[in-house]
Amino acid sequence: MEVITTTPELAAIARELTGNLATVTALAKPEANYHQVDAKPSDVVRVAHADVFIRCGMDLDMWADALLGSARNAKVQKGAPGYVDASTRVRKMEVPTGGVNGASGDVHAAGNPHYWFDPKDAVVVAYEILLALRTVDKAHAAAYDANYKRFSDEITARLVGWERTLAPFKGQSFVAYHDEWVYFASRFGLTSFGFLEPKPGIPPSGGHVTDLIQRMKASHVRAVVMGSIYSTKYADLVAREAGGKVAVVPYSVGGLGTRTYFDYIDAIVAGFAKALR
Amino acid sequence: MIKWLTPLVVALVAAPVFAQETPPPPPDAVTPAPAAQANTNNRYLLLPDISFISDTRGLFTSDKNNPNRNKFVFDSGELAIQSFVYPGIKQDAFIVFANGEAGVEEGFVTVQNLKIAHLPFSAVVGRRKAPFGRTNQLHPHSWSYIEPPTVLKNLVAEESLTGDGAYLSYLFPTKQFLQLDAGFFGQPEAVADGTAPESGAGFKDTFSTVRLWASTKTGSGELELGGSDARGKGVSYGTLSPQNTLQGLDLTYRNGAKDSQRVMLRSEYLTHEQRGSGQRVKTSGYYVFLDKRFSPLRSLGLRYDNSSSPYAAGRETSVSLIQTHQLTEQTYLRLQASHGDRPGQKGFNELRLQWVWGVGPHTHNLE
Repeated sequence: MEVITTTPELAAIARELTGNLATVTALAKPEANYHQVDAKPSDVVRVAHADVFIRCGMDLDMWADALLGSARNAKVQKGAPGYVDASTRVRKMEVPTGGVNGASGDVHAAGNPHYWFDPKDAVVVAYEILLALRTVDKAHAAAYDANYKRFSDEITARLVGWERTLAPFKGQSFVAYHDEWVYFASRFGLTSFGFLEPKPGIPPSGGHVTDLIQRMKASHVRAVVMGSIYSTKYADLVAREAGGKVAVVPYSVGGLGTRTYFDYIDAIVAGFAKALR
Repeated sequence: MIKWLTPLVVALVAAPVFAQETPPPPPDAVTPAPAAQANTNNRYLLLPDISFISDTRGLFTSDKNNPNRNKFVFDSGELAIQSFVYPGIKQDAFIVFANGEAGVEEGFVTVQNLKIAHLPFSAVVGRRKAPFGRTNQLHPHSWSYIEPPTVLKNLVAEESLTGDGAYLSYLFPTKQFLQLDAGFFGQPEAVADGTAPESGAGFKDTFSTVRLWASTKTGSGELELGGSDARGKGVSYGTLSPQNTLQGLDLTYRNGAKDSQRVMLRSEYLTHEQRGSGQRVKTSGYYVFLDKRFSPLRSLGLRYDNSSSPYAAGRETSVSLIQTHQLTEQTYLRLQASHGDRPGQKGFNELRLQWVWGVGPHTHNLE
């Protein structure tokens, strides 16, 4: 069976469920900016041969629509048993209540789409994938159920350790490059103080960074956390001026030497602990 | 009777026990929102995706005869209405406002899965940019430049070779991408005989197209190769009443890196032949375009153009430097500086500016 996902994180979660029962491939490479991925002809072939297609949804991977159209694979078109919007059962955060337009920056109308950073949401994603796998490959339903349970149990077990690592920093604030940590911060009791981007998707400006440094100093915020795809030019400046540290954490499963979803969260938790210490 | 009835009853009673029950959702899962409450681009209301893309341009040129010299003009606005109308059938309409007029640039229906002789095709019917060459089906806001390559303007069309008709597309069931498109089109507007076209393929009425397109992964990159053919009766002018044949080869190499960094090399070589009345007029041209995207927001390209025209003597050669600054996924500023020689204008210089902004969900096929 062929499982295609839009991002490496979804692929990592899907692999936990399929084990050796499927080949799982992510269309976006690790450390690619998921907001802007070039859909290539080879991706069309992958989607054309897919039995299950898993996407982030919430308008993050809209580039996948062109691939679904070009691949003409009825098994994975929207509404088909092999089509999975992994966000379907995720509790959405930062859903805009007022109007959204270009002045808001790159705000997603369906809410902040970076839900996979919360390990408990990874279980919700795994459940959505499980439902599709059970429908498409009924013969192995029991195996998928067992793998899902194992993944869910391991998340529960590891969450204890992750929470223990970050417990000393509960309530502390951090600065990030992009507004992508709301689910993670909510899970571990951290507070997002601000972003190097003045608005989502809008690059840092001198004025905004200067203002951010002043506010960080006034509020004694020192931690700066950066996804590994972003330039640390402004982050280094901000951390230096605010007297803090920059921690670079993997943007993707596959970034900074990570291989599985568990490695990935391990590295992110360690990065936050380093920045907040 | 009891002999076979007993096992049947046992089996019916036991079946639910052995059936694999779906596990309950995890505690953190929420119930999926009903369609009427889902908050994604109004798709739940049976409304189509509606979007608008505006294109404003400026031109500063050493050509004193160009009517747009040293001016900013609203080039065009594109209103797109896109939706599935039936399972597996999608409708797209692109209405373009330009020069004070509105017109249907494209309006077509795509049948995604059409079985012909047990083979899966997709079919497109309506007014559509023809599947010819690597970039003919792209809309101007999806181009990587402001002014298209000279060879495409001279030999294919000012913007795109477009027709009213249909084409079939077959994606071969191979591990590598291999696609064949074959179509038959009529000119959207009648073309009168008697005067040579200013530029383009010069088809008078109907024309057919065939395109074979392949792609293979090469390490961290991807190489695409394509071959295209279009032919039909040409416009008669002077002593020539020709059959026109347009053929092209295209090559694209892309290599992605961290974030949105990407290097792309693209080239197309085209020939145009008018044959008839004992005459044969053949012209050719090509371009080579190298583009580096440094981040999601910034890219820089260099293009070399070399082309003759089917309807005028001489060749045009130029070098262009193209810089793009993306504000959002659909909004960007672009600058294209060109220097070259064209018949009657040796050493011309041109600076073009473009401001494109877009709102609403807008999708095209593979770009």
